[in-house]
Amino acid sequence: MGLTTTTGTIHGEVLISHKLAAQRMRFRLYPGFKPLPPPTGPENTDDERTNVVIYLKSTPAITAVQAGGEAPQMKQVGETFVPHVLPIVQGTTVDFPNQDPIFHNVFSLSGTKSFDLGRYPKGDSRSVTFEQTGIVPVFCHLHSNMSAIVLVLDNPFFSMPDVEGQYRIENIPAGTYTIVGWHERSEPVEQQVEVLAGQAVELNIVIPITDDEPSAP
Amino acid sequence: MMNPPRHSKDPTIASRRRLIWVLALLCGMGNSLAMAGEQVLVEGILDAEVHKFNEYSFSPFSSDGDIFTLGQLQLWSAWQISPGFQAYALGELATVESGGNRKTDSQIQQAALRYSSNSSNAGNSSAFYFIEAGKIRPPIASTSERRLSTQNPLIGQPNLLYAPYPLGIQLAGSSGWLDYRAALVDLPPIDPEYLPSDPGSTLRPDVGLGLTPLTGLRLGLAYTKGPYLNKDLNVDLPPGSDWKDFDQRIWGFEFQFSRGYAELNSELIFAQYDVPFQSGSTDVMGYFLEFKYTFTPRFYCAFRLERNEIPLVRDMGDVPWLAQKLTVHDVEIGLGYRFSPDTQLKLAFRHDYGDEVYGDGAYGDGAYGNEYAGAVELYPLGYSLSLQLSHHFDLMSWLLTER
Repeated sequence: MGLTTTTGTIHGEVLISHKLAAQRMRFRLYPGFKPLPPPTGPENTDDERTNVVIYLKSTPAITAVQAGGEAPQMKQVGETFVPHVLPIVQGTTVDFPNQDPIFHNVFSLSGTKSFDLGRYPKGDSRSVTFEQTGIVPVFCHLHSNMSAIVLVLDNPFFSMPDVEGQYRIENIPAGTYTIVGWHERSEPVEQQVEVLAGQAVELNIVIPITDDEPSAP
Repeated sequence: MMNPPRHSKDPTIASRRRLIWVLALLCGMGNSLAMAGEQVLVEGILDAEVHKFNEYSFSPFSSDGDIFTLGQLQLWSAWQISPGFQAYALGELATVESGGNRKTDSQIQQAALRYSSNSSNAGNSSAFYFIEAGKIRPPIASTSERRLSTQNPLIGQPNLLYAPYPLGIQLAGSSGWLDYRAALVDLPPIDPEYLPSDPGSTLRPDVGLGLTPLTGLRLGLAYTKGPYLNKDLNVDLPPGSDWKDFDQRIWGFEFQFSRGYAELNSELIFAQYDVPFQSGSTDVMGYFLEFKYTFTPRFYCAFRLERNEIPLVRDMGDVPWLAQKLTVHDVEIGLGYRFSPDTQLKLAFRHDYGDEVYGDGAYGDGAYGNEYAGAVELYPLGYSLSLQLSHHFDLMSWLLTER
């Protein structure tokens, strides 16, 4: 989507601290009878920056914008939720397909959305509609090392950085906004940004805001 | 958890100190651990339990009606030495109190090196294997995971097969619908309350095979064979025989089925014990059936039905060895509530009774101070009511969080 005369773009790079850049090792005290190798491929990168969500705090102008497209998925593959973080707009239905040859039991006890999808085999899927905004941690009853987050937002102006740490939010109505950098292991980082019609604003975001040297790409 | 402390030894200051050192080290190394977050994992479970037994309860804690409390910390750590190669350990610290008496115990339950094929064929195959050596999970009993309260749908554990963590080496893995495990371990799975304690250390095979014809259904077989006595008993053995001449043989059959919100676990074992001065073996059979159903994301219920023939083999000194069996039935039913994914509360009721297996037998008349004799008289209708609060924590996630 390109720039229009009434909307603008925010783009930039996301930097995170060494602490946030660290990923937890995978280990199960009791491996079970059929443990699986972790997934590989573009959807499962080791770069923790791809689990950052950059979004705009709501204003009446952007909350009214409708999101479209297919129902997003959070797959279970290689005893891992893919993606690990899934930002959506409230009211969205998320599919949870099982792509492993074992059972998973997806559940959440979040106050935003509580659910338990039970056990279903490879090829099957269950769906959950998220009506309220908030953070929904997702787990598997059978595999304690599996976790993910559904971040339910009230507007569609969000983005996740690519493996280079670059993010881009387009078609934002001109105005002044609070942009938020969110990572599951940090307090949200907020900055003010003015979006001018027909222009692109470059804004780098460092999470968290400290004097520490952020993680190198 | 209810069972482990019954086998606990007297407080050992040295082992407690070891555990305290480990804890202190982990706290002191907080920042270093955080920086090494990708290579180190530290997790644990804190349990707090309250039990009320009647005097007939077959529970090892049956405290003549007193309230029994238990506090327990299980702490495990893993270190990623290189891709696929890990070192790990599990320690337990437990304190129990009943009738004004307190007892504390600590043990290193597992400590081993594990090589896993996970990293070498990532994403390309469902085949997986690992090799581990050290003090490991006993391959013969699939009930080990119930020692973790977060894995156990109830509070008590199956008494089917008491399997201490042995020293050994194990190869385990799966490929398609097949899973397998083969190990050499140094200890037999025996309950020292009923069989001679401190079994001698000698390598024995321990193998298992499982089939998963469809997702959620698994059928398994397991077998182990080896001596279960110890060399101190040689003086009371028939002339010319050695403690290693008397074997224990166990066949295990595992059945697991789950679908939707229901889960069924079951295990059946047959065991034979060669007993000195006895012409045939003492044969016992036992099984448990465990069912769990989740009603809502937070509520679940479970029950376990168990029938065990417990081998009672004793060196009686100047009389022939005792070789009898005691049959014990128990049923446990419970409710669980999850406050969070890491914190849950369980309430369970357990009922047990023993079958009469002794007539006017010498061993049943109390002549040898035998507290297990005449089970029907001693434990006609035992029950326990138990409450357990358990919390799982992950130290590394906490350390890796920006505050």
